[in-house]
Amino acid sequence: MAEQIETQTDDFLYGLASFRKIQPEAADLLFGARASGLYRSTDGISWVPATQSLGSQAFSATAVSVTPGRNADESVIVGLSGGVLYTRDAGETWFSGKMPSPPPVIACLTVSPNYPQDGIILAGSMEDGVLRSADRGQNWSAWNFGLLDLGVMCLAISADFTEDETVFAGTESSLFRSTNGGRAWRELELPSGYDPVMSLACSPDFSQQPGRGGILFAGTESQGLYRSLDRGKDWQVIGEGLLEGIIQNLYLAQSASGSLDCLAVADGKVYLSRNQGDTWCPVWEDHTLLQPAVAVLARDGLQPGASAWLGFAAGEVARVALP
Amino acid sequence: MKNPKQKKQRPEVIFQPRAYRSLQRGIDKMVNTITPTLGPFPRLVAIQRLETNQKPELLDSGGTIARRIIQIRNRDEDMGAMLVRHVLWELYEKVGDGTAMTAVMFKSIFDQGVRYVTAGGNSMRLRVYLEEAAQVVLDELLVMKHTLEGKEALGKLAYSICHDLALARMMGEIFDILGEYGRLEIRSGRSRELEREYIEGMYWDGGLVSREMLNDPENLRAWQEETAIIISDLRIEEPQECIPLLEFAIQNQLKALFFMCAEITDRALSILLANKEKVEVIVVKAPAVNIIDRMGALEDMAVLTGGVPLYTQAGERLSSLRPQNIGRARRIWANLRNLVIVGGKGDSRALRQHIVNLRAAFTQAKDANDRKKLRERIGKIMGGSATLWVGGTTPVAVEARKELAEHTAEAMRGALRDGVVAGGGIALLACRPLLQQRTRQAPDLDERAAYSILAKALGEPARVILDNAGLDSYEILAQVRQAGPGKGYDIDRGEIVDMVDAGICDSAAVVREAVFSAVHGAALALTTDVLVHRKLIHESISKTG
Repeated sequence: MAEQIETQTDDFLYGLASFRKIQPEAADLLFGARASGLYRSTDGISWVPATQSLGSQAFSATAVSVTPGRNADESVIVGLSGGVLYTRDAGETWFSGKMPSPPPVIACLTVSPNYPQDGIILAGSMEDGVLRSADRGQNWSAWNFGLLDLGVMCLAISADFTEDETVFAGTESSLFRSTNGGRAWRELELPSGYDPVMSLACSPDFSQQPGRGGILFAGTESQGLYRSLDRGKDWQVIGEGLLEGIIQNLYLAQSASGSLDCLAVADGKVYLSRNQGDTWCPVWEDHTLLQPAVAVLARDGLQPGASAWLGFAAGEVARVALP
Repeated sequence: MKNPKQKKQRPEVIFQPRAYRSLQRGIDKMVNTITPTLGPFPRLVAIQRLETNQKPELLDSGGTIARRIIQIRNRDEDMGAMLVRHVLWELYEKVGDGTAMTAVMFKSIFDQGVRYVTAGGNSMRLRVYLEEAAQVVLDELLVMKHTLEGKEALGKLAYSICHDLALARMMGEIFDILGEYGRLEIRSGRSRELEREYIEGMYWDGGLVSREMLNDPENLRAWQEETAIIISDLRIEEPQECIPLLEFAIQNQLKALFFMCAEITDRALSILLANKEKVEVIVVKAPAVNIIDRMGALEDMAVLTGGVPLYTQAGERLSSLRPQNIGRARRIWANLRNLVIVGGKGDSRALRQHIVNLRAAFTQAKDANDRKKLRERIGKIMGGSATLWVGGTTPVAVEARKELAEHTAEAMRGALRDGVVAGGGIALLACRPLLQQRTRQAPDLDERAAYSILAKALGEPARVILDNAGLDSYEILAQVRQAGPGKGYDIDRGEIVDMVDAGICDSAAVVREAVFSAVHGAALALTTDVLVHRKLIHESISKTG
């Protein structure tokens, strides 16, 4: 049974994120990046503006990302249409990241899996390509060697980033890969031609190292969903006839049995696969029939019964359980 | 009056066996001059300069050595030497490396071929079969090709080329970021160390036409954000010619404008400066002096920014300015030497198609200069560049290290572009079992001879590399054979290693081109039966040259 939470007209939800407090008894925090600003919730039910300490100044939050895992670092990074805000105390105090001029519109953010140690954050922007910070969001510089399309829609980072330094960037016309931590890029041949790549996801065991595994998913604007079993070399279309329209969001998780579970938001509907994308079935249709979903957050994985949050275009968030 | 320094050459026709013997001696002289330069421990070849009071030129590049030898004394031998010289120089022009490897294979194929033909073999049939056998090797080398990725692997490759650990590490990082086409400027450093700097944006020559336009005087730059750019090669002489530009900017509400032209007079410039409160126009010189290079640069900028250039040759003027002529960029800056565009707003699909076209032109280009220019164009529009500052203890040391860096950079570009195979002649050795198998299967005697000759020739580079390092090639090659595929001898470490893992690689394109040139060149020489000397007047070269 789902609980409907917080509705605001003329709003738009760009992304959801959550991080786990280091104290096991403390409530986890959820963040929602919306056109009306950044919101925070401890229970997924009541949401409050997360940047109150900055005063009443209104700004649009276009992306949000948090420090991975459970650790003392309580960093939250928020993409804006004109820069980045970051906090290191779960939103109590906020700082503005120093970005190159003119101010970039941030479309997506990704944080290094080894963030507590390396402090690397990458931001994809609408016109300025990929911006990189190696000091936890304080200073940013553009690294666009080989990135021939500077409209970056999505980023996906390798689980083995510490070793393989691999990041993927989906742009308005193609897919690019960096094997040096986001400093230089090479185009990958995606069979979708010049279709925009709207969403990307690497499997939790992804590694570019020889002999290691790794599955990569790329969702496009009009050519469907693609899967690569060899780290981006060869691609195949999956979910044909079902996953159509814009593939807005992808989430991959390893199941207890070792298989890869996948969740995809396609054209406002949500689909689940329990066999690494070979077959798909629609989920939470009662919600998505009413309004289109745009984002999904499943911080507890995709095992049956686990909680997930479903974000809708108008800014609403609903808690749902996985079938 | 007869010039005492001129002497006539008698015409003469030379038949076999003298023709083969003479060719062979000439080939031997040329190849033996180049052979010491093969491998990681090359020895130098000293070439006397035309000005005999200067110190000799010390060379370790087979291509340059071949180019310097323009004639040898015996005219029969000279024909053989010039034949191999032409093959080597063409190869050097095309791929920039692999001449010594080609030379030793050429000599081996020719020597074995001469023995076979003089024993009764058919030289024409041998040539056809040699060329067929070469294709087998070329295909096999393609299968063996690896691509290198990551600064570690590229650093190892760089070390195998330059044997300078600090430089190799730096080169590995730089090429990991820049890629094969990226713009790398190598300059003399101010300290003893190596330093590098990465610069965002696309660089062109052609800076500001006037210091009056500097709006960032501290950094001696003029810059604009979210700006419009007019790309042209127009020559603006009269102030009235600038009026349509100002009117256009005001009509289209352009507050900031970069205007590129071939020339502008001070009088014409003054009208733009006088109106800078209304429209800030920054005027920069169009890049390049040569018209073809300039057209190329303007075309690249047009694709990058999405504007249509105004060309003088098309009869266009500023009065013919239309909205489609305007290109756009997130940021443009210029100093007195360069123009840099960051975040051009052209169509990224058109940009990629443009790069595909330039790459195709690069692949087809035969002239080294054309290839260099195309590579620079591709590098520029791929975004960003790097500068490597090479330091050293003395100016001579700095210059030597700079040359080493340039040579390493060139070889790394080739390896990145075309992939690599195991170095040290190991990839060629690995093709031998296939040729030996073909030898056993071939029904024709000439065909068997061709496979056998080529199989032996492919072993020569590895043998010569070891010999040049002062090692016992026979013993080491036996160990290498025992070790299995991909394994070779690391001369530095003195042990058998996996060559690709150890970073001892050669550019696949260079090795393939070396095989092709050696086989086709030697096979052609083998079918040469008669030498003809014409009546020529030789002029001795004067001391002022």
